[in-house]
Amino acid sequence: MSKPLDLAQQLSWAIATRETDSFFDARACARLILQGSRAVQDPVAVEFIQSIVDDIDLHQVINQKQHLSDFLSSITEWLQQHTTNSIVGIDQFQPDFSAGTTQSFDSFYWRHRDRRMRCFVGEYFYHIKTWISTATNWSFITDQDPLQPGDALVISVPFCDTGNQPNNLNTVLEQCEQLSIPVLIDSCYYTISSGIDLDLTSPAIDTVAFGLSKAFPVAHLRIGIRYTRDSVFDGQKLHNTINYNNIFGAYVGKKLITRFKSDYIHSVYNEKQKQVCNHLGLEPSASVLFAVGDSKWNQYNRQHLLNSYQLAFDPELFVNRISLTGVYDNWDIFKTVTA
Amino acid sequence: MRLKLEFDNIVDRPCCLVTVNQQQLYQGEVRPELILFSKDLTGSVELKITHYDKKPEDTVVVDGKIVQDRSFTLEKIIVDNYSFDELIWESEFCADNGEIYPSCLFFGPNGDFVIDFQLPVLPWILETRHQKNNNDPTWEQDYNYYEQACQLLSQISNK
Repeated sequence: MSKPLDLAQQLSWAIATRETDSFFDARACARLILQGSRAVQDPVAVEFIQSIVDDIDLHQVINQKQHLSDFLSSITEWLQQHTTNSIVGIDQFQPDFSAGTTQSFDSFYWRHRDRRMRCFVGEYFYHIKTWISTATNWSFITDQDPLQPGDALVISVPFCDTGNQPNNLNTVLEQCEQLSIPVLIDSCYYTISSGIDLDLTSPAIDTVAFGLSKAFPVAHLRIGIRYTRDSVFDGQKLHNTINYNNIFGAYVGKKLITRFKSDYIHSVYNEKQKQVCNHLGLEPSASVLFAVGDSKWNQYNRQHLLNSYQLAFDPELFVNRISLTGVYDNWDIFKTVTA
Repeated sequence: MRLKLEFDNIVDRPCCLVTVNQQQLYQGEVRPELILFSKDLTGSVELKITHYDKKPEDTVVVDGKIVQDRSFTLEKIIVDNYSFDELIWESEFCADNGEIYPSCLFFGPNGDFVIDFQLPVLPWILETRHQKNNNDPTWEQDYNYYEQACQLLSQISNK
């Protein structure tokens, strides 16, 4: 049997070669196959999404504001029905449509622009890129530079770096409460994960964001949801109030959450994740699209991603998070390589 | 082997003869694009493009200036869908008068453009490029993975 890293290379190359005829394109692609965080092209979901589009009168759909309210009134219960994750305290928040989770991040940065933005090492690079490019005051949370009054915290649950429940979440939230630090919780991996406890009862929590882009191959439709307190009335809330939003995204989102449970992707790919991790010597992540590799997997570190974000951090700061999406999407290749 | 040649700046209907390892693939007027095939070719290949049939009167000089000159330029060599790109310069032009012009893609006088390469062409491109630039240390490993991948995909599609 091939060594795990050799097997990973074989898989990456075979998947990449299937996508392109050229060696040079395949080589560029092979280096990225096990990275990133795109949704799996689950055939049942893909067929369903196609059927949604096949069946609609687009003009009629995008002019029916009801689709937005239908989506908003259904998604909270849908998220709560996840069978292996739990959310407590979400009823303390009001939902708004969000262009993916990203719009919620931008709204949070803007609303708290007078504060210093904080995150842990391993957090989603978008935050850091945005803060740097807008000359926002920010820094990683470290022992030498802990949270302080006047900060605003962004934290992903599951954590971006690993796909797992972040360490000491409750302690961090208690600290934020004591220091009056508003917190944004990015839960974009919630629907692809298992065993995540999302306790939103801390008054420090300002914003919670979810999206459908990781669970379903609809990232380009930017379907997300943002939860904020009653007191928040910002630009994003305004657009929600006047129905000036992505009605088509909401329409597709409502169809998806009606057809599939919020733990659908995890339940379908959980067993495959175990098989891949077993063959490749990886640690399964709580988020089913990922696994975590030790230092032997350094060639799959975040260097390429850092380059694409034009961020100059040492990739060794981050965990070797391996994306399994390409393997799931090419399961026949995986089965042949490991036969 | 599938050979695609692309020419440019074709002036006054020049003629060329294309051979690989002395096997004639084409003879006639130079066209912007020639797609040629050769069977059962492996290992070392000498590609020769001969500019012929140019006569002294094909160079028109007025007041000491050349105003028309039968000629053409080789732009691209593509073998089995892989372009030689910068490796096209690893060639020479041997004019019939005995002059040798290294890295010359301009066919002015009658003579032979000659380039040597190997089949399969991809590892030759990768290896040659690495030898010149020392910037692709994993080329051989990557090529092997690519070969394995092609075989694997073929195996899957034949199931």
